[in-house]
Amino acid sequence: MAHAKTSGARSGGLKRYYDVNGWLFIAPAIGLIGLFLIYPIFRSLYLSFFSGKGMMMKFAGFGNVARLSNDPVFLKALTNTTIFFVVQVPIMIVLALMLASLLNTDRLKFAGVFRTAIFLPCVASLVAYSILFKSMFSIDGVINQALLAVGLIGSPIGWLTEPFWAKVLVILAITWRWTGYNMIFYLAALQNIDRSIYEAARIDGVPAWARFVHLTIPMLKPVILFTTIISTIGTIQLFDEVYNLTEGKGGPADATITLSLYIYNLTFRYMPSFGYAATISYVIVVMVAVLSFLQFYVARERS
Amino acid sequence: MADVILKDIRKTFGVLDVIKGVDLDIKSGEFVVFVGPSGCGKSTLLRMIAGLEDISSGVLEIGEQVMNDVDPSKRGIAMVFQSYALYPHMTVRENMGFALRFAGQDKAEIARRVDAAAKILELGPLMDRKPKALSGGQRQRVAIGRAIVREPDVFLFDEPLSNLDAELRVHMRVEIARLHKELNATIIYVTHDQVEAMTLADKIVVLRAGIVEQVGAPLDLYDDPANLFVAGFIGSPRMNVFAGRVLGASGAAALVSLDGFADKEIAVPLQGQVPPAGTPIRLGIRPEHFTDAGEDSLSITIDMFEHLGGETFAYGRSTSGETIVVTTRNGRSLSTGHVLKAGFDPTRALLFAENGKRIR
Ligand SMILES: Nc1ncnc2c1ncn2[C@@H]1O[C@H](COP(=O)(O)OP(=O)(O)OP(=O)(O)O)[C@@H](O)[C@H]1O
Ligand SMILES: [Mg+2]
Repeated sequence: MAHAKTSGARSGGLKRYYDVNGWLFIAPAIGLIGLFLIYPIFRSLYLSFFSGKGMMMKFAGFGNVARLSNDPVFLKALTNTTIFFVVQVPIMIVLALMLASLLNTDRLKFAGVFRTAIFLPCVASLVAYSILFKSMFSIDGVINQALLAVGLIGSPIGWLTEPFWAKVLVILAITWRWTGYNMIFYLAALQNIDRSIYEAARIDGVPAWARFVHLTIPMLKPVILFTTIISTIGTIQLFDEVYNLTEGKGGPADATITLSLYIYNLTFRYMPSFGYAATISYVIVVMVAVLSFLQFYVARERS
Repeated sequence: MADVILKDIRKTFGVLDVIKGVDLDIKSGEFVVFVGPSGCGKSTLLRMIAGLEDISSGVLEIGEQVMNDVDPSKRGIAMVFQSYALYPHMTVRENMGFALRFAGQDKAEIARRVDAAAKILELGPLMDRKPKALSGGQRQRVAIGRAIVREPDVFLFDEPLSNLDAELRVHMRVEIARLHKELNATIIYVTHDQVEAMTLADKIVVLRAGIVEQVGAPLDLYDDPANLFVAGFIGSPRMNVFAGRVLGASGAAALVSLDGFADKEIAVPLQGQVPPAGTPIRLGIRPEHFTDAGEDSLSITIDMFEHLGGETFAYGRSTSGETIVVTTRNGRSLSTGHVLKAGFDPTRALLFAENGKRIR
């Protein structure tokens, strides 16, 4: 009875799937999504089976995958990308969590000012901040001068010229830019937690560190999972910061080249090899999928 | 076991005075209830005792020790919140045992205390559930259990039952009364439900706007309120209050007239001095004190009824339009428009000065 009534109200069973008016309404959206999202996905999968430069492409089967393992630049880019997310994502998540908890205490004055200041970098212009970073971290920039002045270092650090420090600089730059963004998620989640939970814990003598570790972190777990996945994806696709800080080269000596930057170079900087570039983008897809799955697996509800 | 003593306790939030000098003496093992209208400062006062709010001035002693600046966890108290404040990601057992881990208790002792509390509160089958899989009443029992395992000297409850439905509230009220007997602990309990206050309390503290209006046993507050506010706040439906004037004295009684009832003279017995003739007064008569057998009576026109089954609240008017509530047992025979001779016993009527203070 009830079933007949509902389907009757919706003009009957299968018929609604053939109703042309409905399709007309969603056709523009489907068309755009198909053209700019679905088509490129399959086109690049198709392309990844071809090799050759420019328009001179020939079918190569899994030849591109074999080429990956012999390509030192790809291996370098893969290593760099891995280093970036393994080092940067945890640092940023922990930092964002701590900042959010600090901003959430009601004893803090001017919390709004701090919140804005910490959030601002991620809406700042990328080019502007890259130029600023480059000048601050140049050999005679303020950072080196400050470190020299307090005696932490004996001679200036070549932030943009030494491979190790160049990586540090990239990590600093993305941490500076994206910590505030993650913090906002935590702050929103924290403000939804019933204050009396913390008050109860205080009365019961649970020390502050334990309130953070055993109450705050577990209650924020879904948000932490979400931000970790978003940040991991962002770092694996890292491009903008490196491109702007190193004039698109990923230097010095490929020390900061990332997978995305390498894809860009393969298509736009060198003689284009679309097939090989498409193969590397699928490497990114596989990495994101595997890591997201792992993170869900680790954070699953154990019972 | 510990006495709780408040001496001239005050609280200001910025320029706002919320608690304006409260003196209280709570004996060990006593069940004390704070009642008062919303916003009068009940929660604030309780949170000051708990240590969740700073004390602006005055002295708080628990167990003969000044506690003004002592950390909440070292005051020998446990608190149950209106929102339960359970840890959502922990099971009932973990919720109850969590804090003990930081009090240096070993595992066996924690398990013993948690099991003992679970037994008292009949939480046995729920121990491995998370709070979201519990009903409101069960959550409240867990919150109480979490307080019990700490074996505090003083329990603090802030409106623990106000999120429950009426039936469960009655049930939990009985549970809490039983718990008080069983644990023999000092309990300070905030509510704005006067039935909870009347049934649970050894001593009720009536607060208004940060000031203690009266402290006393439930029936003393009912029989012998210190002012119009307490008289109106305790008892349901509210006490009827009539404006009037003193006509003179007749022996130990004051002869008063009521503005709403012309030609009516009522002799209210007093212990003290009768105020001079002409003094404006207020006369209070509780709805349930109108009986057919009363020696005096007021005639009122009935407007409306509320039939509760056993008894009836009849709402009526005097000839000059003053509203009156009368509780009666044989209300079914009445009809609207009916003129009722509501009898009452003048010795049970209460006399108040115009400023609300009781004249005894
Ligand atoms: N943190 C605060 N800052 C400023 N004013 C506050 C604060 N906390 C409470 N107040 C004020 O103090 C007064 C008393 O509040 P309190 O919560 O103690 O009332 P209450 O008697 O518990 O009321 P209710 O029955 O509604 O719970 C209110 O006027 C409230 O606005
Ligand atoms: Mg309150």
